[in-house]
Amino acid sequence: MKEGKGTQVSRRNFLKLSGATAAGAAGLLTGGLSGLTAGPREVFAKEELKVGILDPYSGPYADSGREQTNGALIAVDEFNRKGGAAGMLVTTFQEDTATNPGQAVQKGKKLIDEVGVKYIVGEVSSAVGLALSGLCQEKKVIYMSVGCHSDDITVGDKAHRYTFRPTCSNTMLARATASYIADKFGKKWYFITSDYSWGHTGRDAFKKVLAAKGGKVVGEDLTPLGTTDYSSYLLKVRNAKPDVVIVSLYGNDLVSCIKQFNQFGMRKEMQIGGPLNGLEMARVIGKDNNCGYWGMPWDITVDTKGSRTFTANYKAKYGKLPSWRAFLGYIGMHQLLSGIDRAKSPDPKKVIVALEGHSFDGLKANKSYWRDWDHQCIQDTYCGRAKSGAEVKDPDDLFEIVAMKKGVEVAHTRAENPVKLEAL
Amino acid sequence: MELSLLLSQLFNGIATGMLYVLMAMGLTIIMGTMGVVNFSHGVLFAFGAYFAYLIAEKTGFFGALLLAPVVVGLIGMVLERALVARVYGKDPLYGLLLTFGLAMALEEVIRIGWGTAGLPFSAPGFLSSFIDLKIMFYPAYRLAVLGFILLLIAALWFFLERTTTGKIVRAGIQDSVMVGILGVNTKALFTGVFGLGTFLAGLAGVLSAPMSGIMPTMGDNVIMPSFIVIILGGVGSFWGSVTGGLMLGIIVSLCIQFVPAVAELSMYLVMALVLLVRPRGLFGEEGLFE
Repeated sequence: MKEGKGTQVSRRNFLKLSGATAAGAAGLLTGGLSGLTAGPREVFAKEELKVGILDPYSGPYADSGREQTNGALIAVDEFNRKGGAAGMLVTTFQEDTATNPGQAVQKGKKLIDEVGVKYIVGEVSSAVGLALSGLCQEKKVIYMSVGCHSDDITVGDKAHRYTFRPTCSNTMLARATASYIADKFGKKWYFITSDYSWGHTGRDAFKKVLAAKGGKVVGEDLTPLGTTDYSSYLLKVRNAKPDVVIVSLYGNDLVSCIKQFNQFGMRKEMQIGGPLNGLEMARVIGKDNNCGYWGMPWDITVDTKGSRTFTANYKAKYGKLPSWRAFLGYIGMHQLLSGIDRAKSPDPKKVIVALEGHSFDGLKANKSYWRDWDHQCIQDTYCGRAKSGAEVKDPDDLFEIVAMKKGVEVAHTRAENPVKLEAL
Repeated sequence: MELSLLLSQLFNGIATGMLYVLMAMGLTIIMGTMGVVNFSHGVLFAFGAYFAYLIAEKTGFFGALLLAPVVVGLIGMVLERALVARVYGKDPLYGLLLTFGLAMALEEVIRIGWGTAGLPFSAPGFLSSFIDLKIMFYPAYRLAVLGFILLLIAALWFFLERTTTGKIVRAGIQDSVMVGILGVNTKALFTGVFGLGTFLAGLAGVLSAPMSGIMPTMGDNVIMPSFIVIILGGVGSFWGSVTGGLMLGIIVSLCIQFVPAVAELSMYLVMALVLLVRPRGLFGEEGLFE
C-alpha cells in the first residue's frame, strides 16, 4: 500500500490538502462564503496528526489485519468529525507487515523516519508486535499493540514504556476460558500449539490453569505457522484419548485444524478449545464445522450501549458486522487519540502520562483501564462457545458468550509480573 | 506404540502424499518438456479451489471437480502462449523470474476477486462420513480422493504409454528439439503440455479445498513440497513423481508421530540426501541437473 493511500479524506481534509495554498490567498476574501462548512479560519488552524497503521494485509493473518485497520479507521472518523485530536486532524499511513517481523520493522522505520509519525497502531502477530515494540521504544514512538496476545508484550523484560496493549493477554484469556473448560469437560488435555511466541504463551497459560486444577497433559505438539494439513497430528491426538484438545492456533491454521478435526469425526470423541477464535475465522470454518470453547476479547453479542453503537457504525461503513479484531482496532486507535486529546499535545511523553492509569468505557459491562506499571488494558474477558448447525440463525451468529471474568480476576498480578518499565 | 497407530500414520501419509503426486506430475512434465521451472503452479492450484467454489454454487461439487480444472488448464494455456513461450531456450533464470512474478500477481488477483478472507467449502454430504478401516476411522472424502488420484494416475499412464499423443509428449520430455525436427508442431505440443500440467494443479486444488479450506495463500504451502517431490523422483519421470510424493507423505507423517521436532525439516533432509547420492533423483534421466 502506498503512503497515505489509507488517508481518510474527509471534507475538511480535502479542503486542507487541496485548498491550503489557494485558501492562503483567497481565504480572507472569501471568509463569508457560505458553502464551506469548515470555515477558512479552521483550515489555517488545523495541523496534521500523522498516525501509522501497521497490520498484515497479506499472509496467514491478512483478514484479521484488515479488520483491525477497518476498526481503527472508525475511531479516526469519529475524531475527525469533531475536529480531530488536540485540535489536529488525523491522517493515517497504512503499511503491510505481511506477518513478518523484518518487514514490519522496515516499514515501521520508514513511517517513523521518512513520514515522521510519532504513533504506530496495529499488528496481529505477537512475534511482529514484539519487534515493533522494541523499535518504538528505541525511537520514542508510542506503539498501540492492537491485537498481539502473547504475554511477553506486557510481561517481563520485553515490555516497554512506549508500548500499550489494548487487548487481553494470553493469560487473561486462558484464565477466563481454561477453568470453564476444565470444570465442564474434564482435565486430560492434549495441546496443539503454533510454534512461536503467541502459541507458546497461550499453551503455557492453559497449562498453568490445568495444573492448578490437578489436571494432566496427555500429549503435545508444536506445529509450524502456515501448516495446512493437521491429519497426522489429529491421529496422534485421537490415540491419546484426551478429554479436550487445546488448540493454540490462529488464522488459516486454526481454520484448517478445526475443519479436519470435524472431518476425522473427533467432535464426538472430545471437546476442543483454545485461547482465541473469532468471527473472521468461524465464517470460513463454516457453521457445520464451527465448534469448541474459545477465549474472546469481545463479541458482537456484548450488550452495552457502546458496543451497539460501534457495531452499528461499523456495519454502516463496511456492510458487515465487526469481529473482535475490528473492535480492538477501534479501541486501540480511540485510546491513542483520546490520550492525545487529554494531553492537549502531540508529544508522546505527555500522551503516555495521559494514558497511564486512565479509566474509560471500553464498550464492555465494566470499565476498562490502563495499568500504569505494565501498560496492560485491564478489561472484561470472555469465554465464547462456537455455535453450529441449526442454532446458527444468520451468517454472523456464530458465538455465544458463556463466561465472563473481570480483568482484575484474570490479569497477572504485580507479584506474577516482574516487569519494570523504562523511565520516560 | 500400537501397531494400529503406526499403520494409521503410514496410510495417512500415503493419502496426503497423493496430492503432492498430482502437483508434481504437472510440474515435472512442464519442466521436462520446456525446461521451465513453473513457480506459478502453486497459485494455479489455488485458482482450482476458487473456481471450484464459484462453479459449485451452480452445479454442486462434482460439476466443479469436472469444470474447474479445465478452466485452470485453459488459463495455463493462455499464460503459456502469452508469456511463458517467450522464455523458451533462454537462461532458466528468466522462466523462474517470470513464473515467480506471475505467482505473486495472480495471488493478488485472487485477493482482489475474492477478498483476503478464506472461503468455506465442504465435501459433498455423502462423503462427509467415516469409514472403518479396522486400524482407524478414516474420512470418506480422503479415501475417495486417494482412490480418484490412483485412477487418474492409471489414466495418465495409459495416455503417456499407449496413445500417439502421449508418446509425442514423452518424446518431448526426452528431446523436444529432435521432436520438432521430426515434424511435430512443437508450439502446439508445448501449449498442450502446459495446459495439461496446470490442469493437474487445478485438479489438486479442487480436491484439497474441502480438506484444508480455500485461502489466497493455499498454494504457497504446497509448492515447496511439490518441488521436493520431483527432485526426489527425478525431473520428467512419471514413476519418479509417484514414488517421490508417496515418500514425502509417509516420511512427514511418521516424523510427526515419532520425531515431531524435525517433521518440517524431514523433507528437506531427505531431499539433501538424495541429491548427494543421486543428483538426477531416484528415477531421473541423466542430463537435466547433471
